Amino acid sequence: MPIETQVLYVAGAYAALWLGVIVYVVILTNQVAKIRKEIKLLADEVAKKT
Amino acid sequence: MKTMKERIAPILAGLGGLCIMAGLIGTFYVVPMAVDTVGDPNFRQKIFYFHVPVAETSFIAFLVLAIAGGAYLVTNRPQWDIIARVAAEVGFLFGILVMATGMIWTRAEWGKWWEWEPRLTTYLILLIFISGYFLLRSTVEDEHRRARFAAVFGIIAFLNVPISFFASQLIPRASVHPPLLIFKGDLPPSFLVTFLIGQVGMLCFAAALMVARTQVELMKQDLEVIKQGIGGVMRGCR
Repeated sequence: MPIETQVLYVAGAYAALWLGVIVYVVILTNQVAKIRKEIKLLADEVAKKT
Repeated sequence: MKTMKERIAPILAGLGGLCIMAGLIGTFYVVPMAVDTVGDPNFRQKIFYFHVPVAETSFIAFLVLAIAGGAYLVTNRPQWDIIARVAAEVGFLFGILVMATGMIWTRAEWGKWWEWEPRLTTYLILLIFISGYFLLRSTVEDEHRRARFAAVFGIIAFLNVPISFFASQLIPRASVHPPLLIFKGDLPPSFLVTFLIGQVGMLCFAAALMVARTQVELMKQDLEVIKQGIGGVMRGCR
């Protein structure tokens, strides 16, 4: 197999690995943002009513 | 100001990132190029330096799943159930990444995307068990029963780990996967050092993901407590 094709396979494997990790980290970050937003809304609601 | 607990995940991620970068430099600039059986350069062998650390990390995550499940069965503390679930999630993520990188390597090495050989098949069975773990958790409503069933299932799922780990040695004739690598004295130390640095990096990174994910779960629990507390306050204000 030509070395250029081998380089593509290695780069592809590495890209697949970090794409998966990035997707998971993005999902986690979104979850944190949602929770923080909910906490802020709750705090605003309590501030309004009290 | 961030507490020590809030700093753990970024510290682990930073340490993991540094080790992974060092491993990357070692893989492509320090370790000599492997050669195949006919003496041609075997650049695709470099996949080994991240595929194997990801696989080992997934095994360790499943070990954490089993230990946390066992701890829940003994103590009934919900924190152990959270740790078990997070370990299963991160282990499953790394498992998918093992499959993805492994399939690319299989394609590069043997010209096909999949081979029904012992290591690959037993690892696929392990991931199916972990999928079953999440399915089980989604079907049981009662928290305590869910945690107990999941703990037992997680321990059973973990039993596939040694089977998969030793599969190539148990059935060597059917296996295209190399058996456990033995680092002989005549291999340059750069191979082992580069591999170990990459392994440590991947473990630190997985630990960072587990810590961060656990913190998200605890935040969700705190949010539920706050909502219930605020519900009481609102009723009191009317």
